[in-house]
Amino acid sequence: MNESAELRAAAASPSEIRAVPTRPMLTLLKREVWEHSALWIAPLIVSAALIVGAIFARAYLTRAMPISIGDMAGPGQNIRAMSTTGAVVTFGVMQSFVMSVVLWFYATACLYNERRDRSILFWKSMPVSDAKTVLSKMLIALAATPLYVYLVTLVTTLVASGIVAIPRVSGPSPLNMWDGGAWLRAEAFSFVWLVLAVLWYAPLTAYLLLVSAWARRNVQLWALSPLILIIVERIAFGTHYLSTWLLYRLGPGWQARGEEWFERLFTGPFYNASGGSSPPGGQIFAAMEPLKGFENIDLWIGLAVAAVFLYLAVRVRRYRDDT
Amino acid sequence: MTTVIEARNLSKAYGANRALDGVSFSVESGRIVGIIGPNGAGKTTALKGILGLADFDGDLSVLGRNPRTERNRLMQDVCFIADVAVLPRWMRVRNALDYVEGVHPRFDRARAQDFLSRTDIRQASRVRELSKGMVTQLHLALILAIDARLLVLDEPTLGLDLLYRRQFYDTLLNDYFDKERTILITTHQVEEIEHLLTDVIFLARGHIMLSSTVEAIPDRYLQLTVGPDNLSRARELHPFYEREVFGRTALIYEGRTQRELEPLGEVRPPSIADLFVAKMQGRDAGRAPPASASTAAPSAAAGAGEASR
Repeated sequence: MNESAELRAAAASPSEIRAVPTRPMLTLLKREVWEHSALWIAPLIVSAALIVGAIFARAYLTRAMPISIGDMAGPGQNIRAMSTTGAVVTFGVMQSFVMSVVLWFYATACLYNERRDRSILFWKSMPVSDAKTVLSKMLIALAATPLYVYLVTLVTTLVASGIVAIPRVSGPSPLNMWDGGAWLRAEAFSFVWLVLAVLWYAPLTAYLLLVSAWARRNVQLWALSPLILIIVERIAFGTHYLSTWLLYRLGPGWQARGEEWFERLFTGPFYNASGGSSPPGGQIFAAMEPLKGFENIDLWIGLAVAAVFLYLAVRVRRYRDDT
Repeated sequence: MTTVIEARNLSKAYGANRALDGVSFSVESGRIVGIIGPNGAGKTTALKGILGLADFDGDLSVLGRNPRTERNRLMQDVCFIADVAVLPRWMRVRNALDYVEGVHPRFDRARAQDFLSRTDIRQASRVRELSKGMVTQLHLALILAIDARLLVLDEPTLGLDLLYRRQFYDTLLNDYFDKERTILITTHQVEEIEHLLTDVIFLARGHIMLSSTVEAIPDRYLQLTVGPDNLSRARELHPFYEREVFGRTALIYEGRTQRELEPLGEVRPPSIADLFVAKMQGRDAGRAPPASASTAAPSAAAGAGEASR
């Protein structure tokens, strides 16, 4: 690509000799991270809070439950699997919640702020297409941030579990709540869950980007404007199709198969415990059937709608002139 | 010399307000063209058309490309500073360099850094911490380090103090401009830039009042300064503008020769600033009617603009 860019540049102006290779998409992604520092700071704050929580938990748990350790080697395997899975799921849910809030504000701000402070005139003075710009923002919301949050959460879980397991200098030894197999399975589950959630909410993200590119002011109000339609529908027709549909779209619809997994995820260890040893990893993944989440046709319809919203956002950014 | 900008019959209306009304002009390479007009004359509208930022009616070609459909490619060869303070306030100076380096194939980071090292701007500073003048310096450093063929400046020194303004234009002229490049500047502060322009386009109410090279101005326009004794004789030669200064009267003529005027008083070419005021307030000003007026007159004014080239 760089080579062809050079060729085109040379063709355009014969006197031109220098055309430095560029990394536009990487640079655009960097811009988002510089501009919206909440994207990377917020997960770290949540992690810090969770680790502080783990420090307290360790001090408290080892004092409050000295009996459960006693002369036993440690809690039973099913308890350990439960607690490991619980930690992964709890941490993941907390981080996901914060991430949703951060991404909501990111998506509504990222194409709006640059128009409000007129810096769009600077961005537009660079040879970067509107499609690339909008795409970079979608990539931040759909891939970079979720992946980053996932990794931060993963490390946090390990650190917090390690803290809980630190042996005491004297007194009763700490609870060993760790089950490596359960951890691996829970992380794999979380990852698929996250991917499905991100894809499920892609039309919402794209809609917020469109509103962000379009609204002249009060971008948050515009983002919430479909809620007004719900009220209108209620009053005018006495029906609630829209609200039912929106709740489905905004709710965890990607979990159509998820509840089943959830059950397996938690009950799995007990079945295993009764069966004796923990099943090999391959069997666990087979039992989870993570790919079933992708069978929901609404997921794919949503992605098509997201593509339309994105296209519109690109057009609006390209042709709207309100500076 | 090649044609950098070719505009034919540009029109643009914002509601009932016709910001541009059938404007035609062309800009050759290696020129520094000032688009001069009062606020609301259509200067920024014209620039937005050239930069492909806004829609318009008419034909426009910039470096042989259509700015509407080939904007992204065009931006490799065209730079612009919209006005001061459009650099994002959250950005660090270092990030600004990183960004332009990352997206612009013709950016020379060393050159930008060299320019910045001559200022008080630190790389770790955020734009919001810089003074208005420093933001302009930073923007200029970024733009000067881009090897572009056309530089468009829209009121680039608005709100800056004299020192920064002077420095801005000196840098532009000394460190940037050469025969390969073209600079298009809009401003309503004529005095600031008249010494560096090679061409002027006067724009008022969406019409071109004058389009000329600076060299050609003395051939068409002369300013005569007379005492009270010669005033009536001077008026007989139909000046289109007159102004009283310290008891003497300065009259500006179009199409008169040095020989005709010399016997009456002191003759010299009008400054661009004086000519601008004369064109805006003098007899000619009536030729550009308000936007809501008849539609016959605008085409005449546009014709005049073209004919004056």
